[in-house]
Amino acid sequence: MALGGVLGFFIGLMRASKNKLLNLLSLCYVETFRNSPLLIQLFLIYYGLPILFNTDVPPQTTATIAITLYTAGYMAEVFKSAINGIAKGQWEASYSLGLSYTQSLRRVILPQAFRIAIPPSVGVFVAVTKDSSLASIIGFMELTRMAAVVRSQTFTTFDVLGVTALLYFIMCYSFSKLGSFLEKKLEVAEAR
Amino acid sequence: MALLFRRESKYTLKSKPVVKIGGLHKWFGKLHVLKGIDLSLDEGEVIVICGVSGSGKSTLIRCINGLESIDEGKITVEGLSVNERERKILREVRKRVGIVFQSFNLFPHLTALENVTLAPKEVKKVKKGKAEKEAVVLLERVGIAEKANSYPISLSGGQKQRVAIARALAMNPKVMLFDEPTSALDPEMIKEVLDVMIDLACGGMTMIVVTHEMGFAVRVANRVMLLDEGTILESAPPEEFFRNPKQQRTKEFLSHVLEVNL
Repeated sequence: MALGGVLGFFIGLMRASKNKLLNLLSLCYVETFRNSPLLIQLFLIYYGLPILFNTDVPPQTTATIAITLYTAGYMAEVFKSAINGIAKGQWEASYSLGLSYTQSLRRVILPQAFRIAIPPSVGVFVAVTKDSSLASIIGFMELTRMAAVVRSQTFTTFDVLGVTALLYFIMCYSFSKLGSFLEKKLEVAEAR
Repeated sequence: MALLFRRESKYTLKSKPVVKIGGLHKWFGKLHVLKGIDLSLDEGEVIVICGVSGSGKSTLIRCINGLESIDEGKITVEGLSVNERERKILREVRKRVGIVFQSFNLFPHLTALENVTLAPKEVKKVKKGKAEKEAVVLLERVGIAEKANSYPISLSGGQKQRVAIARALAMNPKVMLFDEPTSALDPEMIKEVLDVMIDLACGGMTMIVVTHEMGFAVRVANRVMLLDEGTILESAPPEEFFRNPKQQRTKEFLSHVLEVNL
């Protein structure tokens, strides 16, 4: 998921760039990975990679790849809209001072864009955390799968499912809290 | 401040054009915004451009530092062609041209001091300590050294604009462009910004100022121009421009502006 964030960041930069080729490529990426279910992507990678490379791919690798690619699709759009959300005057002021595109992006645009990107990023991370339960289907030992195993051994359906839900809740809630913490911190830095 | 005297450089102009504009045309889609502008700005000269909104004033000065592309004609800044869309040359032009916007465009995530030091550090690779020392001097010059560590959000409009002027000056520009620098300000803050600009002009800075502050024009301009529907309709020294304008449009414009200013 973190990898997805990083990949999404770069694809987001491409989406926000004026280069038509980069823009088109990244748009294709985003539309591909956003417009098909994670479950199907998991299956495609699980069955597809072994055929392509003629080796066995462990479920964990499959799940990591699929979730990275899927998260990146969403995060790219988050970063793109955050970057495009910065007023045009900021670019103009930065260029007018003689800064290059990269310098403007790094020193002026991104520090502001990151703050805007926090709330929607939290949304994406929460959604993906919950969606990761789908990876149990291809036999990856994630939380849901683990719960199923424990359940079949102990026959305590509701206890186990309850605890599982609680664990998901804790993970997702931490993301929200971390998000609002970062947001506050950056806001304080600006409003001092 | 030397407010009461016209700056001396007015009478001792060195005739070396800093900015040269020839046959400049600009279209926004089908709209013909600039219809053949010719203009030459000598070192130390101050030009005030006025005109009703939509007359192309902002577009004209945005063309000078390459924020707007040039459709036809030629602009040079110290011999460097702004027509070049090659980024390197455009950056060289922008290092020599400072611009102050109507809407300040300060960087909200940086303090006043950091706003001023950013470009010297990034573009000129000046060491942090040296850049900060110079920035403090500039902030003192615009009269807000005590706000050096404040973020733009806690500054008033007039203070923001003065930081913006200091930020532009930090690059040691050869010419300063002002795009309606006081139009977004409350009346009581206009003076503090104009004072800084007058001080600059008296110090010999080459300036093009788009403004409706006619008092400023009278005091420091070498030439006042009326831009109307994309052409320079009238261009004259301030005495002449205000006392006996040649064009009917200028008379109309002046009567409007002066009425508002009263």
